[in-house]
Amino acid sequence: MRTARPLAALLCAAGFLVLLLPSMSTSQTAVESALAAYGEENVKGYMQPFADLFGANLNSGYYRTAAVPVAGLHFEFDIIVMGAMVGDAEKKFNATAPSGFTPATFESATIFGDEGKEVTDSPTRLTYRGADGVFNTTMMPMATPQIKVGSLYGTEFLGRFGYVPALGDNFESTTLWAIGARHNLNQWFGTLPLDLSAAVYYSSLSTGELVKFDGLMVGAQASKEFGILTVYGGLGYQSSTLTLKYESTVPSAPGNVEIKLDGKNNVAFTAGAGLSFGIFKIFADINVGSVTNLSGGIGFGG
Amino acid sequence: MKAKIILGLVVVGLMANGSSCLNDPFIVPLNAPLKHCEVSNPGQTWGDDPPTTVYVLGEIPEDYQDLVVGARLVDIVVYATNAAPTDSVNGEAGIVTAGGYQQVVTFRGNGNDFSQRRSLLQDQSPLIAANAVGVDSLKAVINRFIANPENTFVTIDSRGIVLPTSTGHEVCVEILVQVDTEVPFD
Repeated sequence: MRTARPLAALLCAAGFLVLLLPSMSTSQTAVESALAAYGEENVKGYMQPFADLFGANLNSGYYRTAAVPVAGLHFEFDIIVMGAMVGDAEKKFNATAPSGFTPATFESATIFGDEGKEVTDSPTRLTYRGADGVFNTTMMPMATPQIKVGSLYGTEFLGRFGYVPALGDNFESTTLWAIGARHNLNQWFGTLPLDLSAAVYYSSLSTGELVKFDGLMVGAQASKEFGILTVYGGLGYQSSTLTLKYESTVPSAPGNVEIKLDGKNNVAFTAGAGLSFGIFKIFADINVGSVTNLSGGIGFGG
Repeated sequence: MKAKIILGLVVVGLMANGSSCLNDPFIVPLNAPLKHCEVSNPGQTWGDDPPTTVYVLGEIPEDYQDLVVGARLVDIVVYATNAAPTDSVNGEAGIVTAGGYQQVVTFRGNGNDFSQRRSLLQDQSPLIAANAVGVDSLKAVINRFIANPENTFVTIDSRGIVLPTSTGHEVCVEILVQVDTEVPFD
């Protein structure tokens, strides 16, 4: 019987309350052991959905309008929540059985899957089992605070920072940070019916020594205000890389292993809307690309 | 106040839709190679070294030793080190049980053949052959380990004809066992 126990649920919720969901860190020690026992090819298949979905989350939620003041001091503080949908395709992968097994491959759980599957070699009846999935979820969530400060010649600067300290043996510390800059394009084109801007953002997340994520996003944004309603969107090119470092316990290939997995999301279109009540803002958007994810949140200032 | 209400709704919503969010417990299969090596030098007879008794539980990290819920035999590997290419590597390996020595695999080749790891799965014939009765005996020991991991030992021995021409000629047998551990998150 697979259950998400109250403490596990509380831990996930607690992740939000400290503004960064440390989904990876809550289970890192056990995950690291699972990876260490797997061959390199299986680690790639097991972790690729995580690289795809978390990478998309990392590169979302950066803006809620394209308007950037040309001059003067302004300050924004946002709390952003992102979620990438976990579908059936993200829950299983074609695992490689030990060399010589017949069949050579078998379907087993990814990190988002349920129970790992067992494969039996036909001639010898020897067996091998894949690792269970870790996350029982329909959405890969993440949350982070971010601030924006401007403006210098129509340019504002963004920063994200989140930190979850280590909690006992199973909870390694997690650090997230991001920096970025966004430039007002309207000042170069005269009067336009839309606000336009161009931006670049870089982000990084690390959990202990096992996991490191790097994300890059370059894009153009547009928005239009209708009273308290702002409609916004954009087109962005993004990349993300998940680096895993661990010590393999595979008898035929022991030792230190470093694997890099690129997220599959490259070009993403964003569409969203927000409401403004004085300095208080609420907003939500959808990002459509190879990975579809949602982001939204609340903000102050701007 | 509005911000707190909205944040609370977001948290509750994410928990309700399944983000609550760990498979608890989950199974981590760990590798437990059970190894026995014998060395012979020119002029010596191979197989004189005593058997190796392996404490299976000791082959997995200490943090997981109380969490064993399953185990299985995955493969048996034979290889030679410091062997000249033409050195003979003919022999057998097995386990020692209450009933005495039980052959599990036989192997036949030379130093060149066994300079790399040879697997029962990959190289069944002609390099390695399984003794079905011995494999069943080994599986029975592994089943005893599942039932009583704290008190299960596997004693491995090997014997055969090796005609080393080089010093330190070593033949090793690895019984590859996968041990399932059930990791709780609470």
